[in-house]
Amino acid sequence: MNPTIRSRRPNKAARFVLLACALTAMVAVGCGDKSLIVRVDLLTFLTADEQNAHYGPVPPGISDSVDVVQSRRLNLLPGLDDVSTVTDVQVEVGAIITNLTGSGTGRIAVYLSPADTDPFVTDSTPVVGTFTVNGAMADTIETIVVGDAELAELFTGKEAQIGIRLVLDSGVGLAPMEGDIQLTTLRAVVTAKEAVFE
Amino acid sequence: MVQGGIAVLKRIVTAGIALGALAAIAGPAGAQSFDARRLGMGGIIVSEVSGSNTQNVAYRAVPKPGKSFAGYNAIPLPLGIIQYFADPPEFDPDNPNFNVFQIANLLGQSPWTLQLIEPEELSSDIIIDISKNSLAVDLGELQRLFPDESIRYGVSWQSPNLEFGTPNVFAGVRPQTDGRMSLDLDPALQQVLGEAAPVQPNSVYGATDEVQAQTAIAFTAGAALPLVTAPDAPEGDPRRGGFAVYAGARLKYLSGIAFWRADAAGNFATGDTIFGTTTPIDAAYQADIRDASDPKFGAGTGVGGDFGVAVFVDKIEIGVGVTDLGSTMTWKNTDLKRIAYDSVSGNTTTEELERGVEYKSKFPVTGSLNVAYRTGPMMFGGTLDRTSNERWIPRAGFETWALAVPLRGGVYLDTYKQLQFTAGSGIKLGSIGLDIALATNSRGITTDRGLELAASLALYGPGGSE
Repeated sequence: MNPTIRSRRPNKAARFVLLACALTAMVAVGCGDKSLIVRVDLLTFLTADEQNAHYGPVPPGISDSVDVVQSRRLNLLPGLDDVSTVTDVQVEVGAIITNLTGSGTGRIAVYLSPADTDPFVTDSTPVVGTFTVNGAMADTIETIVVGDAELAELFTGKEAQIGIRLVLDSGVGLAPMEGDIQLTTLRAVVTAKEAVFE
Repeated sequence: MVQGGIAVLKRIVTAGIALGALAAIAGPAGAQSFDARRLGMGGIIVSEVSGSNTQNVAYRAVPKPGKSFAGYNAIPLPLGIIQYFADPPEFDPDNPNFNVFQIANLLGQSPWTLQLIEPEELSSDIIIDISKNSLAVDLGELQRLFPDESIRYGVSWQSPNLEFGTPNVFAGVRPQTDGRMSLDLDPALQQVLGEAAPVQPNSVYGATDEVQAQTAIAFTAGAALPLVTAPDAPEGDPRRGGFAVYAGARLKYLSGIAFWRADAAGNFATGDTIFGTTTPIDAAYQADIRDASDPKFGAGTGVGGDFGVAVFVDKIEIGVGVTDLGSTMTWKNTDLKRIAYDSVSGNTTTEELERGVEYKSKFPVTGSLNVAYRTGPMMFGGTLDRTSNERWIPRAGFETWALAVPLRGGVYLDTYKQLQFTAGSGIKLGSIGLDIALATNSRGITTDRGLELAASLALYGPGGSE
């Protein structure tokens, strides 16, 4: 796991590039009835370690959890809050579960919260994808969640906090629940309307 | 530090976009004529249209049109002003109806034309794709703001042109104002903004901008003479036959009033990873600003000239007019300061480099090449205009008369190389006429065509269509 916060902030060049692009887009969006759509591939900002996790062994009848991504800072598009109104946020989560032994259910939960808060505590409505496994098998999770106003407001900030947790409920049986999870998709699609000139 | 830099970059980018948008809005505006007759013919210049001798001084010496051709003075009617007062934009930024783009669009609207159909604004979404090592911006249809060439905007005012004298010898006075902007994106940045190319690691993206504005009063004196006349032409009108050559020159003494110039450059660099953690940034901006330290009448002096030739060969007319050839100003006292931003220090600095230094500037050379052919009641013409923002605008048009009613049509390529169409008609009642024209345009941030109406009163001299 990588708890680093400051060291993973996009550097200033990235901020400049982002801001330049954001402003270009914002001014452009202001020219008519258009939307600014920002598609952020969050997965690429995670390390290889953060994209994969091993779970278990979880004894039968026991619940457990694994923090796939510990609480860390997520840098959003600087300037978005100044010049736009976020109208829609969509979060896409995808993962491959490779269960080795045991059976049970699980859910992968993506927690998002304002900067400098603990997403696991602050976000009471994480983006959740569920799965069920039984013995050695693979399962795929694909979840698309349309965010509410609270999540939309979150994406107008310059920074946010993200954490990803895998929660497991090992079923009855003899074998403990154990396997691997690989994140395949973690993307935010933010739709905004220009607001500064109107 | 970062926030300070962002504020600076915000200003730079906003200014850049504003300049690009301004060029988009106002650039094509210069492509149109105020005279409804000329506008109806695609804006072509021929010897008999109003104001032709401003662009080609040789036309002063060309005899007035004969009885079969309409020669006149045009008084454009300010239809656009009526439209403005009927529906003025909101200027109060606190008002919910305030829209800065409506105000910006005013720059592109002519006070002489009534906008009948507004062009549709671009409607495609803007998409930004971000990943750790990739950044792509798809501006959709707005990519036209960032063409694979310099983004140039230029205006030049030389009216009212008050000239007195005979057709052959004359003197006059007129204001002379020039404003220019030339924004150049380097190829990499142009591809990012104009073609949605992803931002690459270890790359530098930059832009340069050159802005200049100056104004002066021009005192003129000149001559336009027939070098070869066409005595055998019907009614002595060289447009109707024979061979004739005319040439003219208008010399100017320029008394400068105000001058301002900025040469700016900015860039940013990406590291090994666009959104990495270890790459230092390099973002820099520098602008050298020079201005006349004490704007006043006589702050600068200069000379220049307009020159023209017109040739008529068996009903074919060829004209070449050049204005402000060699028009150079010497400003006696200018100050030069440098404003620079360096992302390493995060500081914006202002440094005075020169004070009270003499400086020379030029007015842009503009001109036109025009060809016309007349047969019976028909006249076909073409003009290649060289504008103050260093663009070439080709035009073609025709005019024919049925008794007292003309029929006109024309086309031209605007500064975005988009074909625009014009048509016109009117009526002539004795020595007074009314001309109207319909013309498409794509002013504003659009690829759509709008339609506008122009009207002019025509005061006919001797001759004219009957």
